[in-house]
Amino acid sequence: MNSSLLVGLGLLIPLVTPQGESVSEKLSRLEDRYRHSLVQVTYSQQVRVSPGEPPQEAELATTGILVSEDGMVMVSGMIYEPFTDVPHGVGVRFPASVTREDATVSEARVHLVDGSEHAATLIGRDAEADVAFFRIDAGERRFEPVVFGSAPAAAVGQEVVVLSLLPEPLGPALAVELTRVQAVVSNPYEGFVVATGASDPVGSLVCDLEGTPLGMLDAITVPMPQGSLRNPIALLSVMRDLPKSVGRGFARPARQFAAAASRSPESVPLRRAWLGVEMQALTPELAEHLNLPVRAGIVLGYVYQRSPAEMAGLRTGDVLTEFQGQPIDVDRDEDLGAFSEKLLRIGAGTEIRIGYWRDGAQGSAVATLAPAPKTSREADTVEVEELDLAVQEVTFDYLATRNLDPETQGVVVREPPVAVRTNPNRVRPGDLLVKLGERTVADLDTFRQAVEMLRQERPGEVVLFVERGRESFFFAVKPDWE
Amino acid sequence: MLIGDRATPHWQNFSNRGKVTRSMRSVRRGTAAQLVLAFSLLSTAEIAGQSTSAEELQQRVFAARDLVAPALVNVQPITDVYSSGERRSSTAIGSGFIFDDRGHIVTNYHVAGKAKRLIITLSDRQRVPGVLVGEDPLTDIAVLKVDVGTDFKLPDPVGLGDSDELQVGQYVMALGSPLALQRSLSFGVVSSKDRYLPDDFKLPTGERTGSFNTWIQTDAAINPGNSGGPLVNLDGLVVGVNSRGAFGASSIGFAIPINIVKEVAAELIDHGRVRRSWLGLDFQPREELAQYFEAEPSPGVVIRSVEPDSPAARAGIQAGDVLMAYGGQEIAAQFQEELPAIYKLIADTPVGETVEQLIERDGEKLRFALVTEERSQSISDEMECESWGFTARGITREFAMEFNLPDENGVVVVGVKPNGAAFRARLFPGDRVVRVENEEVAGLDALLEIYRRLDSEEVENVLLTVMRQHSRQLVLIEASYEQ
Repeated sequence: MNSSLLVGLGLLIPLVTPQGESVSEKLSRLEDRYRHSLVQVTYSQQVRVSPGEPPQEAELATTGILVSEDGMVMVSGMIYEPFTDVPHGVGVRFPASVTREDATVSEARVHLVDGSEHAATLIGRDAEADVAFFRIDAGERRFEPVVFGSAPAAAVGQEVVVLSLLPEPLGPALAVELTRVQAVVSNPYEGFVVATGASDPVGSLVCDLEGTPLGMLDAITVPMPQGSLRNPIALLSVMRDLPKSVGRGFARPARQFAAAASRSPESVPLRRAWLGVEMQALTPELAEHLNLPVRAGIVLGYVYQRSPAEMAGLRTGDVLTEFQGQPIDVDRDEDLGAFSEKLLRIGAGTEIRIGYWRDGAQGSAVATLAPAPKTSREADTVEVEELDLAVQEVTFDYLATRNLDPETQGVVVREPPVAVRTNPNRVRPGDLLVKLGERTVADLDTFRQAVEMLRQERPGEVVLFVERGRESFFFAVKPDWE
Repeated sequence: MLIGDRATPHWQNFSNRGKVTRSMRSVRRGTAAQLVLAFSLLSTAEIAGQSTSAEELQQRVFAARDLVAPALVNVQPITDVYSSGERRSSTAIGSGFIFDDRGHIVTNYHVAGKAKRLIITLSDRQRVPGVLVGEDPLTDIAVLKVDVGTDFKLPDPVGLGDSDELQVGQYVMALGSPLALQRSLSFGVVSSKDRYLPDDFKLPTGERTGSFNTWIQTDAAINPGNSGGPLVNLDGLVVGVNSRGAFGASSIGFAIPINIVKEVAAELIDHGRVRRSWLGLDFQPREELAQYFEAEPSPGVVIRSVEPDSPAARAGIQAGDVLMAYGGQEIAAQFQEELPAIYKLIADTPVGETVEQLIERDGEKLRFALVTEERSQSISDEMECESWGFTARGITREFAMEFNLPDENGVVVVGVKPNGAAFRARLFPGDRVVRVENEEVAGLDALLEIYRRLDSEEVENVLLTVMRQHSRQLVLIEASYEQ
């Protein structure tokens, strides 16, 4: 097999490198160098597709790359993307924008090519780098990490090696594949495309012939229009798109996650870039109806208060037509996902130039992208066992959906006490807790302080004052100080 | 006294049934008719041998039945229902009774409310048309009138009892059309006379109901179709209107006390609707908060919430205040069963009257003078925009509060017709339409006016501006005009 490969490649590259090493020798050396650095991670994922239903659970696997000697494993951020079975038994990954909720990941195990298997703990994700980390629970065992240095950019036609894992029943075993970069792309995703026969491409390592890591194969989220779960036609069209990537792998360049891989993943993750708008595609029909001289663009449905967009002077109703001097070619909602993705990956702190139409006149704005603020999904939570109560911090999306002022103070009830949960009139998740007994609650810190004081005072009953929309009311709980 | 007398044969009956079953096994060759005969003879013999008051009870049941049964009616309404973005006609079966000698019939709002047409079946099985006189979702009462000439002789109306006089354990019977089985009678006792049911209970049509009364609970079988029928005491007087069952339970039914029905029906007959006062106050019994305020039972009722933009909010009343007196009348609610009477007291105040409230706040007594306002409709009507392929509802104060809307502007899309014009334009249920082309949509009337105009002009493309949660969306509908 090696000899036929060499014959086929003979015309294209020198068979012998200056160091006197043949390609097969190089591949063999790469196999030796990285065989213990790629691992298979199996995990269980729970997805709640609709709020009223119990979560669906799936056993999934992906390839991980060891990034530290003490057993830190990096995987694609894809593990958080809800996976669910749709009718006809087709597995589809739903971008979080469709389910509006990330999946929960638990019960991870790591399998190495030497046959050993370890339990692993999910450490968390780095949202900006779009990777997640597991730590192998293997005591003092030392591992062989991949070091992502300042990786060179991949070029079209360049020869590269894809290191992937063979699944059961052959594996996990390392497969080494010599291939070429077919394309370098920047829209909607930045990365490069390689031909590959890898059976489980996501998480596979791509390096050059010298073994320098160039990138990691990743999944591409098929953009879906908002609300498409309610629209079976849109869902079917997405399913038809799935097989298009067969035989190709999309690699994200190493520089996107090199920093995340080298820093201690326990530290606070960096955030994705954020413009702070809700968007709708400008279809040609809509453009014509609105008498706009363009046939594509983005209508702003909402501009978040204090967002980069608001500070740049953008308003609800503006029609964005240019981005960084280029026309925006979004003309159906299905294309919005790709545009959002582009924004997310640009990086916080970057200035972007936007051209727009407002009231029949053209305008332009420069916005400085900010790190995306925490959403209510990611908000910090405090649980008070004695009060049987869990609260979380107020987030920008909470304020927007409830039409609240950015100055709003309080904490959001996440889990109301069981004792008062039975009557829906009393307290509901999402109510804003503004006062605990006699103490005003402005944020999580003042809430924690108020709880500390209560723990010392140990009153028999605590009254919680909450606001729900424009209504204010209160209820009492009996704390359990034991 | 009657209770003890009845209890014994009741239990014996049960054990007899067991004996009969065993004998059935031993005489398998006997015909079914023989066995049934044996069972009934055995039972009757046992009862007759034990008690004569059981026979008296039987006679009283017969007598009470004969007083009410002629006035019992079956109500079949024809209503518009809105489903999947379209208006359709629907029907149901309920019960009712002749209330007065002018041909008024009382039933439940959830049976006959919003009816376009009514078919009323009298106890002699004659079917006559009826009209809706008035409806009151808050007490779930509707009044109908038989729509026939003056020479038509209706049966005599029922006699009305006094529901305050009811006792737990008292015999009652329910008459009506359970599961459309007309002229059915079931028998039981009053299981509770002041049952409190949460005031956030909603009718199938979406309105809140039941805030102004406690309920009569009975074990007389009440099933779907009994709604609107009378609950009758052994004197043959109507003491309640059977209205609710309980899911997953048996022998638990609820009736609206007749005393509140008398008041509501009189208002509906005279004015077509019930006007009620509103202050924007929601209460909580003191018992739940005893320790926070005082350990001792104390007068007053705790104000749980104050609605925004209400007379109470404008006057400065706050959640957590304790209402001690209303219009000079002292108030106390230690337990939740006492709340409906307080809500009713406020509602019954004439609209626009100034009422003094005595409030206790942090140990201080404060006086507030509030002018009552008329309580608004709880839920709006629905309308169909046929050529646009959706149905919509107006936004009431209650609706806006429940869904955290900043104001009451616009209409809410309730249904979208599958594969219709709105569906193709990606309009979704829950979207709030605030604008059609360049015209603001203040409410349902505005939408109706705009829709009729554009529809009659057969305008092809219609641009809706809708709020989807906090985000504004443009929805371009390509209207479909049939023919």
